[in-house]
Amino acid sequence: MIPKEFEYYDPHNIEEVINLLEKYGEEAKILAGGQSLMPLLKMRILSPRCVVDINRVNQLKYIREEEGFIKIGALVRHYEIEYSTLLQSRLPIISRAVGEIGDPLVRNRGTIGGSLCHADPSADLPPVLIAAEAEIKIAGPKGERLIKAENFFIDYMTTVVQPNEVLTEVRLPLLPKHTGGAYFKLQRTYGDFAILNIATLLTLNKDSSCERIRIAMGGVGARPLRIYKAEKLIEGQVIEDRLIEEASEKGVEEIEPPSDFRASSWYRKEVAKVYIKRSIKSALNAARCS
Amino acid sequence: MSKWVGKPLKRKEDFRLLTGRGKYIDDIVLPNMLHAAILRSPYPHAIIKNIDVSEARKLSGVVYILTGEELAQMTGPMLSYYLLQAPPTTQQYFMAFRKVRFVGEPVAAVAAETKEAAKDALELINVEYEPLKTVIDPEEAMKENAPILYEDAGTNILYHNIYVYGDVEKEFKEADVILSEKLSIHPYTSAPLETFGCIASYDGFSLTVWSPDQIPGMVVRALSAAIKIPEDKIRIISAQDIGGGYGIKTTLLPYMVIVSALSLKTLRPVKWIEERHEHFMAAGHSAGGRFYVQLALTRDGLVRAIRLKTIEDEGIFSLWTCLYWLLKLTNIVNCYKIRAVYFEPFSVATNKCAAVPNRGVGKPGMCYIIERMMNLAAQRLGLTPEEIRFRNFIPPEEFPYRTPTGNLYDSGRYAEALKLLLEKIEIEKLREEQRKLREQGRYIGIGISTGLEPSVSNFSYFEFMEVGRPNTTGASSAARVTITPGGKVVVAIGSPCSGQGHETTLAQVVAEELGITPEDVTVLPFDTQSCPTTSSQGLYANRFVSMDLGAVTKALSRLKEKILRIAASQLDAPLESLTFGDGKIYVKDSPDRAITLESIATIAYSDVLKLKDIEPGLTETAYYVHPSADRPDDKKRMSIQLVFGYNFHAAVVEVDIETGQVKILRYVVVADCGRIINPMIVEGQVHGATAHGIASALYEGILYNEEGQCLTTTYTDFGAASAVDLPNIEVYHIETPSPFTVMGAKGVGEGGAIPSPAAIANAVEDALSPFGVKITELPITPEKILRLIKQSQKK
Amino acid sequence: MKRKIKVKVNGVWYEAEVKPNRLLVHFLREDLGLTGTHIGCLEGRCGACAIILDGLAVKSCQLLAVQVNGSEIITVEGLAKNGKLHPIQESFWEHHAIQCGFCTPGMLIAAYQLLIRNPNPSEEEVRKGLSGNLCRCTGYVNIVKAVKAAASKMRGEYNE
Repeated sequence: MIPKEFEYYDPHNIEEVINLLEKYGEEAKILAGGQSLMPLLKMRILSPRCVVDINRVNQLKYIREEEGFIKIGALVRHYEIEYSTLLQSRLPIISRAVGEIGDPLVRNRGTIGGSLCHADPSADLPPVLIAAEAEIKIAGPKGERLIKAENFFIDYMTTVVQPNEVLTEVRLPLLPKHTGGAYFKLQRTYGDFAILNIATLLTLNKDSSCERIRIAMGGVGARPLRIYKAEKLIEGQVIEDRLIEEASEKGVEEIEPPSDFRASSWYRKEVAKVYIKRSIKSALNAARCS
Repeated sequence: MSKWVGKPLKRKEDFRLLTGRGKYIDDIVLPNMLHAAILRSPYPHAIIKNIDVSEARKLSGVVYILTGEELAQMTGPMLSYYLLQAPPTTQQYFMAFRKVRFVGEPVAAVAAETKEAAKDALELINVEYEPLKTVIDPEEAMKENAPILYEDAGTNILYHNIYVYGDVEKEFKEADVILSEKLSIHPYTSAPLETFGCIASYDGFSLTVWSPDQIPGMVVRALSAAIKIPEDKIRIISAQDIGGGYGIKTTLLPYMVIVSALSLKTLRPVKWIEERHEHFMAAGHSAGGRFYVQLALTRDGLVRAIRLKTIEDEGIFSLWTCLYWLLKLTNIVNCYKIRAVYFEPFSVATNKCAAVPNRGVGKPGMCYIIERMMNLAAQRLGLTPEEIRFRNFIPPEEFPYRTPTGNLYDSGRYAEALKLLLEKIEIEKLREEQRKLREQGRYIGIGISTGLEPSVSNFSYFEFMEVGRPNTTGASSAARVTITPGGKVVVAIGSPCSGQGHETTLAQVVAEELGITPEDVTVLPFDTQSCPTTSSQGLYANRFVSMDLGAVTKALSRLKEKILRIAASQLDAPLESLTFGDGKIYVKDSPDRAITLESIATIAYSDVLKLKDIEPGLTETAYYVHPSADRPDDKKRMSIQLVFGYNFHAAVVEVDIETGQVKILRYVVVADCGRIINPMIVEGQVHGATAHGIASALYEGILYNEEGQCLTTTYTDFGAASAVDLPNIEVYHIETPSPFTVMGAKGVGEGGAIPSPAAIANAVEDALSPFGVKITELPITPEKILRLIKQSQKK
Repeated sequence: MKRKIKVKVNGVWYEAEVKPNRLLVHFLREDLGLTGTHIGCLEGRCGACAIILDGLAVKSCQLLAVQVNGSEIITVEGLAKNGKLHPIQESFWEHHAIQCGFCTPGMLIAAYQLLIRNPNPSEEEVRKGLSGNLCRCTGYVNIVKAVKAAASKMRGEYNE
């Protein structure tokens, strides 16, 4: 379990990174936190010609509030998001979800950019970002572009990021008042890949009806999905048990989860229903308290 | 009043382990050393048509490549340890010879200057395989048209027999109730954190092997026979520290042979360290099992007889296909007065890696069977789980108790232990809480399981293989105790240690006997050159505290006798008046008449003229044989294991009925391992073994797909339990000494793993009793639970 | 093509030339002879290889040696100071939190990190803090006890 030999570069700014990616294209792999890439290199599942270590690109290390968004640089480590007082107060759902990634040692090193680009279908962050309607900034030789989180993941472990591009920032809109969030994760043992996860953000109107709800799930297919049918039922309504029940029934109609040795498609669907219910209830309580 | 024995002394081993100065096999570096890597079969069943190593040979740094064919010519087939013969029709080879039978089977081995070169070379070896049909499921493997693993045997059923003890027919005829059930468990591994590894160094004359093997004294003859170097020219040195073994590290021999062969060919030291995925794929698993069981019961809940047909999935293992079923005969009646036993074992070969000894070896499966059945019987008869057990326990006055199969249980206070357990969990309060929570739609369950902990294997059991008298019988251990010229103590025993605190435990006993402190006692790491050993000695089956200590105390008593004679002569006092204490030997009634142990040592080694008729030196070697070891009688009864501790478990769980997830709220153990020498060490063993059992019930296990690929080759996929997934484990002690062991100690190690899967299963079933769910399979996954709930809700 | 690195380990600066594909854990164990850090899986799960890198506990099998140029590392060998054990080490000893010792270095490092972040952890927080470190011998029972005891000892020292 030793990686095959490769050429190694550790650029110090984004331009250098992009130049290298332009040069090597598909033959290059970006190394950020390494928590996902290193096992692939060690098992020789991947043997790239060159590794571009971006850990010294300090431009990508920031968490700040700006223009109605919280902007997080691609190289921010999970533990920084977990312990960020800014995020804990303004976007608690992301701190909460990030605290479930792997284990403390993984979180000391893993980055938001790396995790998103790895695009494991049951990763913790994607459903949260989708529910929060986040946008992802990608830089390439032709400049920068912004993609909605929902459109960022296109297939199993595949994103819209091209071989000559690098993810530079995640931006999340600040949550309106009376918004509550919930994040649930189903795993066999702590630290295992999730079987299923769900992020729900719910905003209440003054009259306690639902102004807006976003529900996103991971582990339900090749990529994380928004559960539109459930959202449509709930939005504009006063939320009570029967409606939640109906939303969960309708919600699972949209998903065709896979079967693997961790869980069958049937089980994932059963728990998805339960999680939709529970996350709506939990987000509702949080919204009422906020 | 004990000064050291029974005290929770801090371990002597810990300082080096805490400061990163442990010496594990991978920490050993020798000059001029080569690194080995092993090429493994990607097919579960195939003929090897050709191996082309020409490209690999050209790689810079590659020194030698050994194929299975070449190794087979050097060594011949693997020999069983108990006969030093190869089985006639089911021969296995150290690396695959002409055929591969599981994914991961070693096919070739490379020795190179660096690890990297060795790994790179593997990719350049070209093997041509002709795939054959595969069989993964043991019951499928038993069928007529199943693909056969060992063609000369003509069948995959490597062992089948029927054992009848007592009048089984009569008991079933007269039974008021007969319960029948099919149960199953999955293959498991305790997955030690340190993988396999070994180093071999052949200098042209003699071979030295460093290894974390648990039974080095036992394998030296088999190694010698394989590598064709005489035994007196082989030295096996145990790694000073071993990162967990749990039984799996008793099976290092094939790798010791491969690495030794590479050293023979290169005349350089060769080191091989196994990688994690290799370990999960190929090191060995516990046997999965399918169990068809019947109990014959009276309406008062007395279990009169048990019928058990057990199908043990041995994977490819064929050298002695008995351990997993044979050891079930040690706890088949568990703690109960069951009168008759019908036992029909099958050992079946499948295209999976070998079944190897793993914590408890067949006994966790057996306990699962009997403890599940006791609960099902209780339900059927309207008794509580504890009541049915109380009614069936062997009462204390009947010990030593001979079971129908011939095991001689030494001692036990089962009813008392169960009472203590029920007190500690406050069973009535718990049941009340359970009732209340059910009304709120929450489901907690209480599961009890009683687990006999048989220890110390009697190797006469190999006679059950019906191939003649084995060359190893009974159970024996060797030890040498030496007082150094300066008055310190050095102990050498014939077993290594993998974290059980043997050095500390021994030091406590020696210090107690000689009236010194444990600081002044050192235990040598095992080395065939300097430690006495017997063929049955080693680190397995909880042997240490009854057997190795038996030999140590025997050697100590001879040594003490000699010390007393010298002291008596020097102090001019009668022998009976003397005693040991504070580093001295002194007259009991006038303690100032004393002589230090150090002075005695000086006389014994240096000032020898003071000795007169006594021989110089202060060292004694002793060999200890367990007094109860016998051979099978004409009715096939024997004491398969010789010492019987026990631990009783209670699990309190909550089941989320919407997701099937199980949370353990509380876990309590009452343990009786006889006389306790170091309670902290004993508890640590109970914690660790119990953790394996809980984890195997809920999370961990080995999975294969239909194509024979092992799906669980990483800790993550295996479902390894972290600190978050396991509960705090409370342990309470009872000490009922064994009348047969030297100190009354019974040993501990496997025990916690034996009743724990059943405790969890019983608890989950109890939680779900409103749904009428029955748990029969392990592991108990949330998905299985949810399916059972949904099925019952439909009805 | 080898790269020059300079790294401080347990207070001592080392200079070396390493190939880019050399894992940090192999560098520490084989090039620097610091065999206290162990390899349990190489897949990044078990935590036996944990070290402190620039103040953060990380798994050294998930890093390349070239990545630590200019950094400061503490391994298990660096926890004791002048022969005096760290309170966490002492606590592990007192509470029998060690059996085979293979997970111990990584556990000590993870506990060290946990107690810096949270000097007064609950049992649940301790278990979560150690969730990146597997132990196969102890069932974690005594390890959790030891970490809690170390926490109170260390808090007591602050109060002196």
